[in-house]
Amino acid sequence: MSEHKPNSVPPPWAGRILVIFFALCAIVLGWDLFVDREVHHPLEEWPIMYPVFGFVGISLLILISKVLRRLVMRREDYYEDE
Amino acid sequence: MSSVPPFLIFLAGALVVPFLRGMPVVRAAWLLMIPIVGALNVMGIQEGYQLQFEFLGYTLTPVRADRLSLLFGYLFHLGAFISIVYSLHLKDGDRPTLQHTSAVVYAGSALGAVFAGDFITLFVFWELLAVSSVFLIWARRSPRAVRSGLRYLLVHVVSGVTLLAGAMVHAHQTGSLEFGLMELEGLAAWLIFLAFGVKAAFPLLHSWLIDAYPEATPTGTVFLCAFTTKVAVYALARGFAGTDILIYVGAVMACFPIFYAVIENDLRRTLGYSMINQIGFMVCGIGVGTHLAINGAVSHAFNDVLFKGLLFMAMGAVMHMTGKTKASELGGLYKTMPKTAILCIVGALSISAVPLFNAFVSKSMIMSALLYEHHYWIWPVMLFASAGVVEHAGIKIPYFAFFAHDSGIRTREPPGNMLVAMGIAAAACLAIGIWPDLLYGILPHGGEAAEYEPYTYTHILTQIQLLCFAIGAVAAFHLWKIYPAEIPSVNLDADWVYRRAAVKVTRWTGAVVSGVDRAFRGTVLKTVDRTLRGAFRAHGPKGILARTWPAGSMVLWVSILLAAFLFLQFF
Repeated sequence: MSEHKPNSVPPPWAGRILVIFFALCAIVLGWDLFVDREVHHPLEEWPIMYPVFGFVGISLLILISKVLRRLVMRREDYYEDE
Repeated sequence: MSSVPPFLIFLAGALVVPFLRGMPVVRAAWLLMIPIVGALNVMGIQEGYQLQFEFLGYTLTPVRADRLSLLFGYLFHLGAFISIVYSLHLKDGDRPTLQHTSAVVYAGSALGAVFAGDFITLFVFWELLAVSSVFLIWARRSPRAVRSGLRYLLVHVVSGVTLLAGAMVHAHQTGSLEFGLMELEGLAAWLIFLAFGVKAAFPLLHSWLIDAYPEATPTGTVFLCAFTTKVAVYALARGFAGTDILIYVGAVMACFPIFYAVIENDLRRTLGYSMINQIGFMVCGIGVGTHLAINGAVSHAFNDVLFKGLLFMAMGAVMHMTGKTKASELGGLYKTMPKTAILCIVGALSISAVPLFNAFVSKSMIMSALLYEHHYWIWPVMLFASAGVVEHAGIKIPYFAFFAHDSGIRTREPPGNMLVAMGIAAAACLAIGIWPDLLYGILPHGGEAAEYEPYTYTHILTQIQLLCFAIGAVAAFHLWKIYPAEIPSVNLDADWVYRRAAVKVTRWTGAVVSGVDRAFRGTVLKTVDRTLRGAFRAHGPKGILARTWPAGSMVLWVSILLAAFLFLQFF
C-alpha cells in the first residue's frame, strides 16, 4: 500500500452517471402516472406514492440522523480508558 | 439413514486442523473438504428423520431433520464453504490454527443448534457457538478486541444460561424437553424468548453485535455474520412463529439501526447496524407467522448470509489491504481494487433488493405477507426501513470505500482466495435473484398459501421507483452538501449503559459505601478510644481509682459517715 496526495476532483464520468440516473428517475416517475398497478394498501392508491415515499423517507432519515449525531457523537477515544 | 449428525463432521474436522500446522496446502484442502463432505452428508438426510435417546428420564433429540432445519443446514454449509475459501490466505502471523479451528467448531455448533430437537442439545450448541466464536474476535489481538470479546462472551453466556433456566422450567411444567412451537406465556417461554432475543440482537440487547463484529479479524467477521444471528432467527421461527410481539420488535429492529448507520464512520460497524436492520425484517416475518411470511423470513436469512457476507468480505478485503475501515480514511480505492469494488457493488445491489438480485425475491415476501394480513401500520414502517437500506448499505458502503474523495491510498487487489469467495457469494446473489425457484424449492412451507411470484409488473415498477428516489435523495443531499460528513468519532448506543453508566454507578456506589463505612468505623473507633482513655484515666497508674489511700484517711471518712448517720437520727 502506498499513500498518494488525496485528490478531491471527481472523475469526469461522475457527472454523466448522475445525468443518466436523474433521467431514469424521470422515466419511472412518468411511468406511474400513465400505467395502472396493483393496489393492496390505502397509501398505494396515491399517484407517485413510491417515489414520494422514497425521497421523503430518506430525506427525513438523513435530517433526523444529523440531529441524532448531535446527541450521541463522542470523540473517537471515548471508551479507550475503560 | 446412512448420514451422520451434521455437526459431527465439523467437530471431527476441527480436531485435525491443529495437527496440520506448517502444512498450508494440506490444511487448505482439509478445510475445504469439511463443508463439502458435510453438504453431501446433509443432502442424504431425509425429511422427518430423528435421532433420539433417553437420558435421565427425558428424551433427547440431537438430530431432527425437517424442511426448516434442512434449509438452515444447507445455508450453513454454503456459508462455511465461502468463509473458509475467504480465509485460506491466513499466514503464521494471523494465528491461522486458532482461527481455522475455532471457525470450524463455530460452524459445527451452528449446525448442531439448527438440527437440535430438544432444549438440552440446543443449549449445549448455543454455548459452544459463543465460546468458539469469541476466538475469532480475540485473534485480532488488540486490547480493544480483547475487551470487546470479553463483553461478547459474557452476553452470550448469559443468554445460554437464560435459555437453560427457561428449558428447566419448561421441562418441570410439561415433562418434556422437546423444542417446538410455544406460546409466549409463563416464565419458561419468556426466559427462552429472551435468550433467543439476545442472540437475535433485539433492540437494547443488540449492542454486543455492534461492539464485537467490527473488532474481529477480517476473516472472523465473515464467519460471525453467517451463523450466530441466523441460529437465533431459526430458533425464533421454530419456537415463536406467529407471536404478535415479534412484528413490532422486528419493525423497531428494522428502523432504529438505519439512523445510526447514516452517522457511523466505521464501515464494518455500519454493516453491523445493517445486519440488525435485516434481521428486523426476518423477525417481523416470523411474527406475522403465515406460511408466506415464514418462507419470506427464512429465505431472507438465507440471502442475508450471502449479501451481508459479501459486503463484510469486501470491507474485510479493504481492511486486509489498507489496514483501514473508516469512511473518513478511505475513498478512491476503485482505482486499485476494481474487482473488489464491483463485487461490493453486487452486494450493495443485492441488499438493496434491486430486481434480479436476491433480496428482491425474499424481502418482498415479508412485505406482501404484511399486506395480506392487514398490518397496515407496520407496512409503511418496513417500507421506510427498506428505503433506508439503500442509503447505508446500498450507497454508503461502496461509495465511501471505493469512490467519494480520493484518500490517496494506492494498494492492490486482495489475495485470490478472497476474490474467489466474494465471486461465489456474488454469483449466488445473482443466481437466486434471477432464478428464485432455486431458493423457493427448499423453503419450509409449500402449497398454495405459500406461493409467491416476485416478478410482477407492479412489484418491479414500485421497487425501482422506491430505490431510484431514495438514491436520488442521497444524491441531492450530497450535491446540496448537507449529507452528514464522515467524522472520526464513536456514537453512544445501548452499550453505553454497561460500558459507562454501569461503571459510573458502580464507582459512585463504591464511593458512597466506602464513605459510610469509613465514617461508621471512625465513630466506633473514636468511641472505643474515648472509653479506653477514660478507663485509663480512672484506672491508670495516675488514675484516681489507682491511688493508695493512707489509714488516717480511712478513719476520717468512717468518722464522717458515722457523724452523718448520727445527725440523721435526730430527724
